[in-house]
Amino acid sequence: MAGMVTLLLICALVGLMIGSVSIPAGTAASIVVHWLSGGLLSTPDWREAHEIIIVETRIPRVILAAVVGASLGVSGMVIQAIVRNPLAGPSILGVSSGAATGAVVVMRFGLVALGAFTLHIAAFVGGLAALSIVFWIARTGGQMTPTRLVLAGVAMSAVLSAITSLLVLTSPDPQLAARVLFWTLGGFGSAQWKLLPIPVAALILGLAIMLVQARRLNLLMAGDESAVALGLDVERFRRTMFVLTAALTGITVAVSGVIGFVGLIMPHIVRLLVGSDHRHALPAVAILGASFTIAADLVARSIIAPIELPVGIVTALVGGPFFIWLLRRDARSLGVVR
Amino acid sequence: MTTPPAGLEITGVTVRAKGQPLVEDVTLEVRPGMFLGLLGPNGAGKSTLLRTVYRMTKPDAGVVRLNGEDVWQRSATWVAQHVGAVLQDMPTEFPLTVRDVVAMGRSAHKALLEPDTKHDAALIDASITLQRLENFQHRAFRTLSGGERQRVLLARALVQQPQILVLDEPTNHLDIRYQLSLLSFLREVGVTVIAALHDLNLAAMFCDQLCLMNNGRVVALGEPEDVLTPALLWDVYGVDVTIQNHPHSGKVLVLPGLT
Amino acid sequence: MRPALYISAALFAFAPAAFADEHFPYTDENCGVTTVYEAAPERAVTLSNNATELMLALGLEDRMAGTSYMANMQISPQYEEAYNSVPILSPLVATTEQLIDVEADFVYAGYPDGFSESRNPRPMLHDLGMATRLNTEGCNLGKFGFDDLFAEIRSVAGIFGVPERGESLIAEMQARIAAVEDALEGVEPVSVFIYNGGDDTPRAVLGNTMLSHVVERAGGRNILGDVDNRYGSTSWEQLVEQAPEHIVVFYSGTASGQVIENPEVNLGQARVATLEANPIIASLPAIQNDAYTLIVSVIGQPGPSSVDALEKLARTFHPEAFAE
Repeated sequence: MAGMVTLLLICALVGLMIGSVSIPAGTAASIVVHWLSGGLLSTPDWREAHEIIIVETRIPRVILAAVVGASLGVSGMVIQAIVRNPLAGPSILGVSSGAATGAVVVMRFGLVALGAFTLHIAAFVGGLAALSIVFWIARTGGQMTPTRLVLAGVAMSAVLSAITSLLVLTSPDPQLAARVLFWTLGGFGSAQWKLLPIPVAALILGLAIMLVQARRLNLLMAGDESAVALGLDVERFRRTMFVLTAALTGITVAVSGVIGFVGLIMPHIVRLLVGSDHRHALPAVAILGASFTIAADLVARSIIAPIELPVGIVTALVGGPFFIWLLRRDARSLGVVR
Repeated sequence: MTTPPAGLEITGVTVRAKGQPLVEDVTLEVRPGMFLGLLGPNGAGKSTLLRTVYRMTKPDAGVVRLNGEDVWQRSATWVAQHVGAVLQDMPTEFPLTVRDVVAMGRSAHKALLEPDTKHDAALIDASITLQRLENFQHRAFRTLSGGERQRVLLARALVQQPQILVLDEPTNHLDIRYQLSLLSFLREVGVTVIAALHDLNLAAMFCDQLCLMNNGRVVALGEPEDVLTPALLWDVYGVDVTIQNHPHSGKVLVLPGLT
Repeated sequence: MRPALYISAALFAFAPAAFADEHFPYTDENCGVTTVYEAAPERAVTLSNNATELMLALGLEDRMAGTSYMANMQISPQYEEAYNSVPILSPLVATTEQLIDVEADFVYAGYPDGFSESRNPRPMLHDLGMATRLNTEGCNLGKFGFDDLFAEIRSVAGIFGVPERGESLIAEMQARIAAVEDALEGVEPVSVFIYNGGDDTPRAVLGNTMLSHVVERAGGRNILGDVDNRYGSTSWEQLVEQAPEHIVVFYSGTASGQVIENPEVNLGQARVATLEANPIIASLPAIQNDAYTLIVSVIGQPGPSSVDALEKLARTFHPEAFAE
């Protein structure tokens, strides 16, 4: 765990050092120290513009990437437990697309009934609806097999992206397409301090609830019947966790768009590193998810600079092959899928 | 790991699925400390009846009482503190270690944020030792053989510190040596036991009482020699048998007739 | 740290504390964003070629801290010297970091690419203490013509407190437009398709653009000029049906910032080659007669060079009208 925290700090620091304007590492470090100490340590001998770049754009961007990565990591881990399927994840099961569709509906029809939070709430409702429908499809008529669940998720995502396209194409607002494109590929380019409170609060609250429920999440891995026999009210618990993961995913989509595969890959790596017990795995997946997303954002904005790739492209390039490897490995090691 | 054995009363329990009765009007009592064997052909309703005991399936009619308390009036946690269930198998999508699986049994006894104590660790260790799983405890559950898995699931049920153990065909996948050692263990474990079994002779050898089910109903309930009769077994299984007594124990021995 | 002057959701004030004459405070209304300028900006950055040219045409290079997004195209020759006196921040759209780095106080985009959700959202720049303006053509409010372009010029000249320079630029442009109109007196419009690339489906430049307006003023008729949008896709079938007599091939620099040698050949002529290789439209009059005109985005986007586009198109549509 100490190693993971170190990794997170390193990713964060590198994230603060690199950008389209080159600021010497030493200067960047001094500015960060100055900022962290509330101006007490290190005397400013740098250009004010450099301080604004670090404090007003890079720090919020790194924090946003970290929070989104952590939220997707824990959501993915919990979704995998509640549907008892390691191939699941917020983007695989259509939660992310649902959230994006929810957000697009709000923008398309100019709904602002719920004020500043409209977009967040719409994304949450969209994500929850998509997850519920996928779960319902996969369960109808007998047992919920992993294949069925993933197929239902793929179908759902396809339908949702069609709906999103339809909304965009029939929209009188020509800017909608550009905004939606940003949503479907994801990115942290609009990171600002004032964007952070909701996702940070959601992560802290969500992770706290999940940690409190960590023992119960463990029971879900043993299957519904065992979980009941071990004292868990499975149906009610699953519903609660559905709402929680949809809320966390929805909020990340509202602030940064759809960033795929983080919620799928990170839980696997964490289980390999610290085991499946959610009491250890949840904090670990939050830290690792945060590190991965900061690193992915770094790659996205530096690999073919000055062009900035959408971060979702980087996570998909890493995540797609990983998913294929998982599918092949699971087909071998599990043999007959129960 | 000693807990007072519980008494179990099943009264008029009926379970239906899509209108078809799976269990119909079953009434039986298992007194504290007794080992009841549940017999019957596939589809007789044994597993469904057991599910009503560990609160998986809610009866459409009738009551299941544990120490006089209706299990459906109590929480899932309360039931798990009293009933340890050993199911036929466990899904293995996740890479859980043997120790992870056994430790799950402590859940019902823990408050939400309560950490594992030395007491829990000691119970888990004891249970692992008792099931001779010491060398497996850090292995992935899914790499174990059927018999080894069965022992892990039993160890998990035991750390629940149950007053009654419910087992659904626990001797499946086991070779004769493990079948015998499991059943003698259950006989000696000191809590009430209700187990669905297939092997009539093993049931006769180890159980205090037998309950023979067919088409969701109880056909016979009582001492092995009263239940395992050629007439009842013909009615239920449609096979001819000869009943003898075991040369050493004197228990009932069912020999399939080759007529 | 520089304070971000945040007054209300729609109203910002920027006060570099310079002297204020009677011109200031100047209120700029721009597609729903209202900005009050207490003084002229001193460190402007442009986010597209046409925004850059518009600023340079007003002689504002001494107020500029940087230009961006030429995408490896050439600035019009008359602005070259002034252009080279201002730092070029990026071949692509300058990033928010670069804007902060050069301490920009005014950010001007000629089309919407400059301000998007993923880079330089306008509210974010406002929070950072920068005023913004987007050429109103990019707001897609409806048809856009020279009158709207003149209004755009007046707005920018107003922001910088140089209204007289705006008026003289407009007068100069109006004179050139009038000369073209005189020459075109009585000509019959040719039907024109404005092609914006695309292989499977042709992308078209539609009615709400400056370029469509320029085509009409040059004695052409944009066959998709009724479509109430800026850009969009059409079909090859549409083209066959409408049988345009002339095709205007619109091309821009590389979005990747990749350096392409001779953009006119490799980007512009490449699009002509795509058209000529397509058997579906082989019988179109425009294809039969090789009636293509290349328009690079430097003159195709709304700005002072729009007049160059007008002159070029008028001469190719109606060469007879300009015969000596």
